[in-house]
Amino acid sequence: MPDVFSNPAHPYTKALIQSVPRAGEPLIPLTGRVPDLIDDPPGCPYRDRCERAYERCLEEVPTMRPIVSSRAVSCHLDLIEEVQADVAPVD
Amino acid sequence: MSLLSIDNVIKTFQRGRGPIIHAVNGVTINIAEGETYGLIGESGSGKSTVGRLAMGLLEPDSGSVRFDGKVLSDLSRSARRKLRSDMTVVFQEPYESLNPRMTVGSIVAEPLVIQGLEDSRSAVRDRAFRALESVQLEPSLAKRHPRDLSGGQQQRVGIARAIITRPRFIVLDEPTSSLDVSVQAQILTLLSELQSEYGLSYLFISHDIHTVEWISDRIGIMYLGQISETAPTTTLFDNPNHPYTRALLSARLSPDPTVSIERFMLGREIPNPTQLPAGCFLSGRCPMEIDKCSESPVELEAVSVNHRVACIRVGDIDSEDLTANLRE
Repeated sequence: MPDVFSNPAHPYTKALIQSVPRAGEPLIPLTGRVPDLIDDPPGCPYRDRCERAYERCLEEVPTMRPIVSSRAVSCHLDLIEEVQADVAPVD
Repeated sequence: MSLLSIDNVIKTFQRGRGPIIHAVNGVTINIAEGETYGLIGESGSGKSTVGRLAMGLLEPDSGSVRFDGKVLSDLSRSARRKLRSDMTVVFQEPYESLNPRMTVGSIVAEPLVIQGLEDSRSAVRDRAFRALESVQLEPSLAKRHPRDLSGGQQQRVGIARAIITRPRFIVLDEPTSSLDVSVQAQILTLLSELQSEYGLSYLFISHDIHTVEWISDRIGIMYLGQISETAPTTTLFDNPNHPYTRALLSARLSPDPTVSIERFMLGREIPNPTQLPAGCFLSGRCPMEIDKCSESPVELEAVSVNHRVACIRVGDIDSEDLTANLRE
């Protein structure tokens, strides 16, 4: 059953799962740190740590949106196709 | 030749007139140059005591610890102090192991000052900056105090302090246990990079099986102050022999929830180290137990090259059958 572990959608979820040590595989640590909660930058809170961040991420805070059935992400990227490789989309 | 040799070391403690605590009961570990030896055990298994013995911070009751061929307890105070630059340690709680009144720069530089390894203040400062650089910390953090830093940064300071004297051997006592998984990955990667850069040997102590498996060349499983099984990492994970190793491996959680791990359960709790069992230390908890197990002490025996197991039942039962018999 595809889920948040076997088919992570959000870049942060992917990065977190990759940072769990698995013998014989390189570790891919997350870069950067969580943003300053007092001096919160505009846009997506993950913008500075995300390899895939683009202009929209720097300006607009993403909100949770459904991508496929029973799954939602808070990310501007078009993740539907990526996740759809395994599952049917929401009608 | 081994860089560090722990040979049949026994260590007990006693508080006042209280009962004798048998913390380490005949442990032998050899660590080669550039090698990582992982020590896995539950809380109270004696693994941190082994780390302290390895560093010469504790004297063994019997047995010996050798570094580079020299028996630590035979060394004079000054010779032992000199060895402090070759052997260093990183602790579990970074914040608690850093002096809160000192700046990051002076914490990192302190071993150089204590050892008198550099004559001038500017040379000390240069090396401190380079150590911070090696652990990927901004030089500007040198003026800050530990409380200003995140947990991951604090542990980097602990590592910078441990490498500044250019050691050959580092005891890593649960260095990532208090860090979250993303920071843990950063620290593990850093440790592995530093190892290849400087040819360091590590004694990596942890209760986290995944971390130890990732970083270690060889592993020892500790139970009640003894090593119950030791083997190269892949051998140990592919072919665990000791019932305790099997139980430990089956108790681990997979990062992939779709992978189900066969459970191999032990009965009861780890015994009190003030009252050691007469025979095998696992007797009373082991599903493979026979009468003979509780009669006399069990020694590590080789089952193949580099793979040693302390269990008299190894070889009695084919491992496949055993798993089948124990399936609940």
